[in-house]
Amino acid sequence: MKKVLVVFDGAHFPTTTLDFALKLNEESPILLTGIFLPSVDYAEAMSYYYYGTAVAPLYMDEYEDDVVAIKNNIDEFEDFCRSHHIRYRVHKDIKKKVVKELQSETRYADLLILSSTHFYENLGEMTQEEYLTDTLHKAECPVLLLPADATMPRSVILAYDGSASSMHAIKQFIYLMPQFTDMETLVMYAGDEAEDVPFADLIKEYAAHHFNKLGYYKLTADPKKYFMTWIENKGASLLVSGSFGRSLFSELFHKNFLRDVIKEQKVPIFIAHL
Amino acid sequence: MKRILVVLDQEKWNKDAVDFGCYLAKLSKSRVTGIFLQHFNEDNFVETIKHRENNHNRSDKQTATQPLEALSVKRFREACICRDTSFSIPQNCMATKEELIEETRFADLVVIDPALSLKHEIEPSPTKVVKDIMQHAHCPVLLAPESFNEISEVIFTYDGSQSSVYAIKQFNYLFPQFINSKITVLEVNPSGTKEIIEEQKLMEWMNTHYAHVNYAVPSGNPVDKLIKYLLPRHKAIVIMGAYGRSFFSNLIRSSAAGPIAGTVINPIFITHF
Repeated sequence: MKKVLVVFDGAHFPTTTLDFALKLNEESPILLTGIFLPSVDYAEAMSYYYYGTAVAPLYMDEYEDDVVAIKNNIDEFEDFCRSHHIRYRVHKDIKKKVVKELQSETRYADLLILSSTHFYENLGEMTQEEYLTDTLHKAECPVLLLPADATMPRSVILAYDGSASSMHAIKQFIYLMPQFTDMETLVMYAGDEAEDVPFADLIKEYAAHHFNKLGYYKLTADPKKYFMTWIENKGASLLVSGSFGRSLFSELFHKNFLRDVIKEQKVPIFIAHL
Repeated sequence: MKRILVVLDQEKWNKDAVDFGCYLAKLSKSRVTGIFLQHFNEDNFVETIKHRENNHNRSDKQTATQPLEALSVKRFREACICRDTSFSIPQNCMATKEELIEETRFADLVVIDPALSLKHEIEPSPTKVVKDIMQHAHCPVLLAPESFNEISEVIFTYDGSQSSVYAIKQFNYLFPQFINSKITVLEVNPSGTKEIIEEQKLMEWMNTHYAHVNYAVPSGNPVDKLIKYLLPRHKAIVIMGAYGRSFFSNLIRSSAAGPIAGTVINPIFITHF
């Protein structure tokens, strides 16, 4: 059984992520741990002020609303889990800064499911992007990033560029989501048309050990321009990617592109990095 | 099916690594892939040639008449057949240390004899080349024991670090067959406290994956306590995060500490973040 985290930030109830977790549970039972965070990162805000008490009154109203919202979310989460027979845990009374807390939680978890659209959307686009990037950078377990209307994938795309990072992501995906290894799987290499696929024989051998329905594809068009369009046309698929390393795909998720990626995200993305 | 690399000495037969590699492969319904580490490299070119010249008149007629590589491959093939284990021998099965490390990107586990050496003088275990592989491999490394009957106990060494928890997770993902074994989380805390670091989160994860878990927090000198704990447990496999900023990584690295890998006889599963 795997320990899967789902994040509740303040008043937001992540229906999409819970529905996805439910489908995972139907494939193979999970322990679903709800992390109940405040809608405002009070600990982060206080840290900007040496005399922390000066800022406390500014957040008093939000804090009191949060207490009620969090309690309601916990009740709704517990009802959801009980009605669908999912084993669950509740982690609440979070005092640390949001990203630091998530980092600590992910060390002792197998998977974190996040909504790229809704995670801290109440803080505005710029701050949301910052929180999402930081969380993805610091997470100590793989993250499954879901778009707003995530559907259960029927195929898998493994982003491969020969790097240790991309292979690490592929391995973690195999270990954590073995039920997906029976689906149609495409090993996708994005690089210069003139270049050979790096370690072609080795990736073929490794992939053949673990996946039953394999194909290989070299994306030769300008990946930054056409990648999201190409992947949307593949239908209900799941993308597996190492990220934040020195890889072509890391450029797609580099800060400069992240806003576009979040806006354009159409498929769930499984991200694991070293 | 896991891809398990068994690393062998091109010149000297490593029965222990083959035995343990085959055991794990059968347990996980996997195949072992034989990789033979080449002795020859630019650094030891002269030394290698002199050593081969000095051993030219060995009585082993098979070695004298057959190329060394072919003999190694034949031995590996026969050993796997005798142990009823699926195996593969890639076309480019002879590898330098650097090539092996590259190949670990595409493997789930490396099994190696900690005494495997590329030097001609006797080295303490783990040898330099084995330490290099442990440090740079892109998958977990399993140091094969000298002998074993079965593995019925798993000891996770833990110090709260990212590396030690990562090692625990990777072992669980690779070998779910051990979920009903005797499981112990051994925290050797240099500060001597009896508290388990992040106890609630750790226990929540452990209880999700294992039916019964014991926790041990021996106090006193960490090296002594760790070795003393492991020595009587002959049927245990030890899991360590290493080469991160963790206490246990210092035990492997520091020759002054008498590395665990050179002292205890248990198989040791090492990986790092």
